[in-house]
Amino acid sequence: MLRLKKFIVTHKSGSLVLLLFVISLLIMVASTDDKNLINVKKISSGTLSTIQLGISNITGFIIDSITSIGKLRRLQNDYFELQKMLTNYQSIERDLIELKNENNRLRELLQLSQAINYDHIVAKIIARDPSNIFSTIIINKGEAHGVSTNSAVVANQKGFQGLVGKIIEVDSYTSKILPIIDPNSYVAVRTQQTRYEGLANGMGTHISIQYIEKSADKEIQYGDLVVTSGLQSIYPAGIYVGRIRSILAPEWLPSLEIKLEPIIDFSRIEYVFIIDGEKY
Amino acid sequence: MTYFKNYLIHLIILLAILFFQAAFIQHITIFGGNLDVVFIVFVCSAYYVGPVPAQIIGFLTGLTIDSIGLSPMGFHAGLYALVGYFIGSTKGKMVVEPLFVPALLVLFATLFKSFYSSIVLHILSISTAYSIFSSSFAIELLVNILITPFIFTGMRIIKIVDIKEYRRL
Repeated sequence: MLRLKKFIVTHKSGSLVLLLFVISLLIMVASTDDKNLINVKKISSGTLSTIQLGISNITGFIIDSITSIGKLRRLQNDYFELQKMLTNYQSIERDLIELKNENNRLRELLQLSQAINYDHIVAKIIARDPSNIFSTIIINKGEAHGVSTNSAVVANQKGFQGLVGKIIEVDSYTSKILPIIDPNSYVAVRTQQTRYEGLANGMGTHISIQYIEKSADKEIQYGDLVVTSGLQSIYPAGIYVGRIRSILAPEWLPSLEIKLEPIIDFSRIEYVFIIDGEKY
Repeated sequence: MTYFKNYLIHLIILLAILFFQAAFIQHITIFGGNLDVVFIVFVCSAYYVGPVPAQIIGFLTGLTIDSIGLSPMGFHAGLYALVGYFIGSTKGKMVVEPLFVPALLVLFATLFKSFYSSIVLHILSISTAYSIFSSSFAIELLVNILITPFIFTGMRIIKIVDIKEYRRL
């Protein structure tokens, strides 16, 4: 015992790092298995995310105020541009009404249901995972706003309603999203045109689709859009996931290996829509 | 007491940068790699405060990162404690100048981070896109090295680190 004490005193720094590393390992192992420790993470995460929300709001306000002068000038230019565009749109609107009527008639003929309108909550992205190893997105809506885990999250970008991911953790006023580009994310998908089903898995910057049979190689094209199939209970059908960027048929795999470019540019999203999982 | 106050300032600054990084800096992507300012500032701090305080500061900073993000509790705590120990141990053993040495330490620390992440995540069976062989890691490494002298200079200007104190050691 005395020897151990003497060793610790002489190797203070080494003993401390060993102790801290062992504690870290124990917490790590326990937090992946034990539910009690996950709750500890939830409590600390809840407190820290509230601080994060405050910092985001304050800094956002300061940045908005500084950039508002430039914005005003741009707004004036936009206003004159929009006035010109309005004249054009008025003529387009007349054509649109005609097309809408025709579309309704075609819908009736095909006996298709109207597009589903989901109940949703609008949320702002306030932070991302501070480390480069994981890819969580933190939003400013939580349990208090009616957000629940496993809700699908979508965003509008470039004229598409694209899938962002799903809610994996909900605190009182913030929530965490697991984006579809994360390697832990799996989404049941199908190609929009050819209707082949597969499983999309995040690869960090892109998405990979598996389990599409090799015979589909001739029909699936580069640039085809891929949508959610709706076979999972989490994601409703028909939400855009990505665009096909490469199709490989390796000999060692029974299915095609398709690489997708996500429809959503994750570095540019600011607002997302959380779809209420129980309403579709 | 003065030392304790100094260490506390290092911890507070790291936590402030951490929250700021989560809210804003993570939005900035350079050719697919993100800036990890917290890590660079921590390496510079660890080099200044020595092994024991660096481990404790690192452990607490790491725990905060784990609480905010998706990583398992203890993952970053262990990483930052180990980096704090290794970098802190070099205190007084190297000729200090503001450009090359901090960049070199950050280079080794970033490589260690990747090595540690690969092993620990493999053991815990957690899949991430982070890999030592990925292009984004190479970019992160390059960006970290290039940005370190500026961060170290910034820390000297606001007197968080004092180069004269290094030279006295």
